[in-house]
Amino acid sequence: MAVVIFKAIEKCNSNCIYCDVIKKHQDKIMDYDLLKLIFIRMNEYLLDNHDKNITFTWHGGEVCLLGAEYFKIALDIQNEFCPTTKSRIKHQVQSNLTIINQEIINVFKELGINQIGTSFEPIPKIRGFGIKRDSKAYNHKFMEGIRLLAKNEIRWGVIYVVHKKSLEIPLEIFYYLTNLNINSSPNFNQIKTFGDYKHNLGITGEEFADFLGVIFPVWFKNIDRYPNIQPFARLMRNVRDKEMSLLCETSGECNYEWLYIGPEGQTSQCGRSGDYNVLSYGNLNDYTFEQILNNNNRDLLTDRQSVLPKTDCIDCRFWGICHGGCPLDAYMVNHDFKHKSPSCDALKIFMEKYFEPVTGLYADFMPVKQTISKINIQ
Amino acid sequence: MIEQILVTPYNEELLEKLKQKTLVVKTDDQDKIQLIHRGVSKHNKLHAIQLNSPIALSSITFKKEWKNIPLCVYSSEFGGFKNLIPKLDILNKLNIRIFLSSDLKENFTGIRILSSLGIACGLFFGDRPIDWESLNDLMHHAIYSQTNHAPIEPFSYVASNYDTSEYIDYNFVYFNNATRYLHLNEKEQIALCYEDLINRNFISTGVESIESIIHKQEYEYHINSRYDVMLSMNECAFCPAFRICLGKFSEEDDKQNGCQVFFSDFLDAAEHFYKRKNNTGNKLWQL
Repeated sequence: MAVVIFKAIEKCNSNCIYCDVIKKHQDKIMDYDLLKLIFIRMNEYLLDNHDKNITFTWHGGEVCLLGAEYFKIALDIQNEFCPTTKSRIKHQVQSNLTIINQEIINVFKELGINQIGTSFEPIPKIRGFGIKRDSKAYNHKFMEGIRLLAKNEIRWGVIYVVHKKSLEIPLEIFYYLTNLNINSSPNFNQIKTFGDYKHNLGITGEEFADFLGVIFPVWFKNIDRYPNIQPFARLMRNVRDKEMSLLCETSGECNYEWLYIGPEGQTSQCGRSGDYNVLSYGNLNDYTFEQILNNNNRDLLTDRQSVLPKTDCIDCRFWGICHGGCPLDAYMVNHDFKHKSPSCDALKIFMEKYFEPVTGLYADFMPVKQTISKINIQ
Repeated sequence: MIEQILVTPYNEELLEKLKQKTLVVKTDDQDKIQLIHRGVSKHNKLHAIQLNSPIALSSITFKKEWKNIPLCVYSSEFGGFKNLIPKLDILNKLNIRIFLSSDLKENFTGIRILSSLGIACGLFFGDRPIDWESLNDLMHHAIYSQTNHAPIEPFSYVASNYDTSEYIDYNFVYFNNATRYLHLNEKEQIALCYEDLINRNFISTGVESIESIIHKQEYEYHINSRYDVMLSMNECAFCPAFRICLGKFSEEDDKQNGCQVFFSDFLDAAEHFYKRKNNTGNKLWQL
């Protein structure tokens, strides 16, 4: 399966404090000729690879700024240029939901979209509109958005970015997010603060582990009530059930499957590498999907997977559920992919200090010992 | 879509306009119960008659003629048990649910007695501050007790209908959820809940407008009012038990030692009942 992170627009109506995309001040919107070329390229790829599907994630910026018309044209293009392969293109959307409307939802439905990924923050002035980061107005619009999704029976799930201010109230945040949407559990991620970050919201791996550690015993006690909180549920599946379910950043297998496409057709490994301008794979105007997905630069990531078990991760019993973490994180710190990610510390501390003592389970995924039958990358 | 039930006072002129509708008819006069039953049964489906008794429960003259009438009795006090004893024989034969106010401590005992006697009953929340500890005791008895007893509301409703993936509103027990019940008065003014009816916050006027209410934005906002709690960021939004309370006690002063403790225990109990019902708990090895 190929995963396309598609950013037809990188502009956003919000000014979230931790966002890397808006720092680019990119106002370009992909034109329709290039949009058409993407679907032509996807069609070629799918015709040549009968066993493959494509997950096409509309990302931004804020995708709803594109307007319903843009999605309608994309749908028409897909129908015209992917007549026999369109059923193998699964559309997904990441949106802040603050400007979503019925017209956009109608097209989303036609594209087969029945769930939307979003983010939310109960702490004021983190996500918000304008220079003052008006979170009150933002939250109001967000609630209107989720009312509309509920009316249309479209599911939505939240990614919560854990930052310095979150550390004061982990349980409150957990309860808020699970109260906000009983049907879809939040996914907690550590804030990324590379480069010229000036807001003093960064946290260490240990702080992130401690944040998760406050929530984890509550989750574990009420596992039926909150079935799918991440990363907890995934770790349980991995350690207790030995059913490997890994994210792109922990799978060690994102190498040849992921693809970022920017507004001008520029490509890279994923959304984050696109944001950081790392790992360029050329422009879609010049290369096919097949060529981009097999670009030589991707070998750097493969090499990393053979090097780490002999170096940074040699004695790490969490290797099988981490694989050195996200290569981009490693690069942003070391300017080299052949190191483990700084987020490994968070995982290690969380597992040893909280997960294992609370569950009574023991993780043993040493590089040489691991036996993985099947990996599902999410 | 489930047909909405109309909660209405007894008024023959009004009933004439509500033909074929399912009704909850309210009265405070026990002597009118049979009259209402006869009147409503002609052209309507009777969901229940709600008697708002101005006298103590034990002083009500229960009649054997009420046997086939779905009855819901609200009373502010239990009264003397001695007075109720001679009426138990009839009471046990009636299709009845009895609700007592949370305002009187004795009512908590009264509800246990009624329940032990096999009479379906419950508590309704009065105007005075709630004794959360007594309420918690009653809830534990209602859900965990293995002794034979009739359902006690709203605990039984929540325990029976709880689902880990759904919010639950126990106001259904009090005919007070707009997805199932609409309230109207003799002037045909319609409200989405009892409180709105009392506060004259009407969504529409005229029996003919009933069908269109569910398409109004105010209706959608009302039935999803939990989003307002989330938006207000008040304490309820951060409460572990919000999913079964939905912010009903947002005005409560000391939530952390009051409603939050109670509803958290209530949620645990509902979940315990849910697991037992769905057999998702530990499995016992077989003999």
